[in-house]
Amino acid sequence: MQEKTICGFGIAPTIKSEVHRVEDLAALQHTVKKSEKILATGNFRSYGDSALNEKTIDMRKLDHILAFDKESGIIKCEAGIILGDLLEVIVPQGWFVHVTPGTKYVTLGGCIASNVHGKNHHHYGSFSESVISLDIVLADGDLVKVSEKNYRDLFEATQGGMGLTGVIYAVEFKLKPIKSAFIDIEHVKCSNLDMVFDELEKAEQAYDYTVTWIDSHAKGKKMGRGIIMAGNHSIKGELKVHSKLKIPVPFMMPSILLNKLTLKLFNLFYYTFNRSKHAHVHYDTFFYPLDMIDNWNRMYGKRGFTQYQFVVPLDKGREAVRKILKLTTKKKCGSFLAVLKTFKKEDNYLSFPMEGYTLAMDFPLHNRTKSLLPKLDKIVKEYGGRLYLTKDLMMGKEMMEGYMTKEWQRIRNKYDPKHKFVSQQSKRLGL
Amino acid sequence: MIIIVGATSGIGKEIVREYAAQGKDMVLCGRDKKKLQVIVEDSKARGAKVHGIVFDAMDLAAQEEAIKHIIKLGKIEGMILVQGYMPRADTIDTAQEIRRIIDTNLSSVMNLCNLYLKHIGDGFAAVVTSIAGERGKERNLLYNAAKGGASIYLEGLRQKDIDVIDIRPGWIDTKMTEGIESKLKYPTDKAAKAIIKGIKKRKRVVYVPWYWRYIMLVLRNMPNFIWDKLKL
Repeated sequence: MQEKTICGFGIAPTIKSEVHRVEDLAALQHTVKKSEKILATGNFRSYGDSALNEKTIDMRKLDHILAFDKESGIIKCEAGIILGDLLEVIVPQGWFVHVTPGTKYVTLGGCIASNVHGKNHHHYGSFSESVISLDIVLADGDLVKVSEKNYRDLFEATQGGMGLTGVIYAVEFKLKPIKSAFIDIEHVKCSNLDMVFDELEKAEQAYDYTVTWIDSHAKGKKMGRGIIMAGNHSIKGELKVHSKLKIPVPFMMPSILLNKLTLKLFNLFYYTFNRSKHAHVHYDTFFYPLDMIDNWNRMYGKRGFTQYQFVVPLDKGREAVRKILKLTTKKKCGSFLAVLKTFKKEDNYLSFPMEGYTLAMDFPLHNRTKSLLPKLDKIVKEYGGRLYLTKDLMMGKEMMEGYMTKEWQRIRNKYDPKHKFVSQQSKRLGL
Repeated sequence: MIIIVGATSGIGKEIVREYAAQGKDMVLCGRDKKKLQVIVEDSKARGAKVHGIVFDAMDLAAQEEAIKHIIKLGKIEGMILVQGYMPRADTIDTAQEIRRIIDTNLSSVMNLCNLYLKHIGDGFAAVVTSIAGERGKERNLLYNAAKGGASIYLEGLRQKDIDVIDIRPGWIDTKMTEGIESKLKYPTDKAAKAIIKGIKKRKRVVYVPWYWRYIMLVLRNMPNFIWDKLKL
């Protein structure tokens, strides 16, 4: 056990936590049994306070592959394994994951707790689509194997359940066969938001993966201009694993580094110097461009930042996105990263995606941001949307009305009536 | 094929991981069947051919049975002994404790190396001792003695026809050092890489990390009147 100061990827807030590092299942069960209020944590890639608590279990030493059927591609791993490390094992053997988030430095347990989505949600859905079963340690220390056929309610409530239903010990899921580690990509440059939406529809027909980088500083007729990045797994190229080479950001930068001017300049350069093109790139470049910069979050400085990610239903979705972009450019709160994706139909307890458009923006945590976000919340709510708990830092309790919250709480209370598993976020949102 | 005893320990697990990534065939030995099974499966998934054998470091007879079984599995390249036991600061030195410390850290090392010489007689024996074995100190009195004994044993063993590598870790970030608050705790994966490198180069003594070689040089040569007064 160690007293440590922990924080999410957004750097602020921080909390002093009693961290229990467990090295095997027996130790995990023992720690859960003897603890009152505790939370299992992964690699701290969630942005806000969803992985923070006064008492935590560091799951990262529980990182073994428990079984791997190399014919069918069904694999079972302990939840502490990091996606990037798993890729190092499976890629050379001709496998990839069906759904990957924007960084490979997440734990498998984190993928489940957040029910992560990737650039292919419009075709495939969330990570849960590939999950066969979960081994969960309940509040009383017992291990249960849950699936569609066994404890189905717990199985569904745990995916996207932010670690609040029990500790995810192991995950059994399907891998995707690949012939090459490379992706055939196409970039489509769009001069405004309307063009983005139109081109996106076309790109989604032809490509498994699509994501759009939006210039969140462009105003007026140019508002919402951006670059659509689409891709399919290539059949050409070696099954080469990603490189471990990273550009370091070895210490916290001054908060002033990413300011209105530098962000505007970055957006301007990024838009101007990117052209429409076709290319053949490694999966690391396509899926994990920011992973190359080690600790890039430090560029925001000690003050920290938040990533605001919302989803709005398809019907009137374009209007909602336009309204929100207009407000952020008006308030001069543009971010250096604004990413647009489309989701297909999905509805599951606290799982984030719903059929519609999702936009994610980074905001430094200064006062302008703190007064802007509630205004954005209002628009999201007005259009029947919701916010991503994995990114959230300050949303109001009323935003939980966008989820099947009461139904989820019923299941959670069934398996953890005393609310042993809590987080700073769950306390803040009254979950 | 490499034999790794103490494969379920903090350092042992990482050595296994590293060799599995290299596709090395291994025989993994530990006393907890469930923990060993997890590591065997993980290594297989990573592409290595692996056997698991359960025995306790304190059970010298079982070790003989194990070695006799292992030699039938294939050609042995070498053996790495990672097992170890360090009592917690608040443990009372009973006769039982003494037995446990000596057997795990010293007797089992001697026994396994003897058996290795007798039945295999070729390749290398690498043993994780400790910087603690270089000089006696009041803290961890028994542990230091046992580890020191192992190092002296290895020195003699060197005269037989196998390569002998004495691995001396400083503080490594494992369960064994849980009670110790120190910024000098070295991560296990880096420790494993350093150990494997040292074994490959057939170094006589491997300090993990390297700077302990120079720290111990100073501490080893410190005059007694200063050493006796130091509360380390």
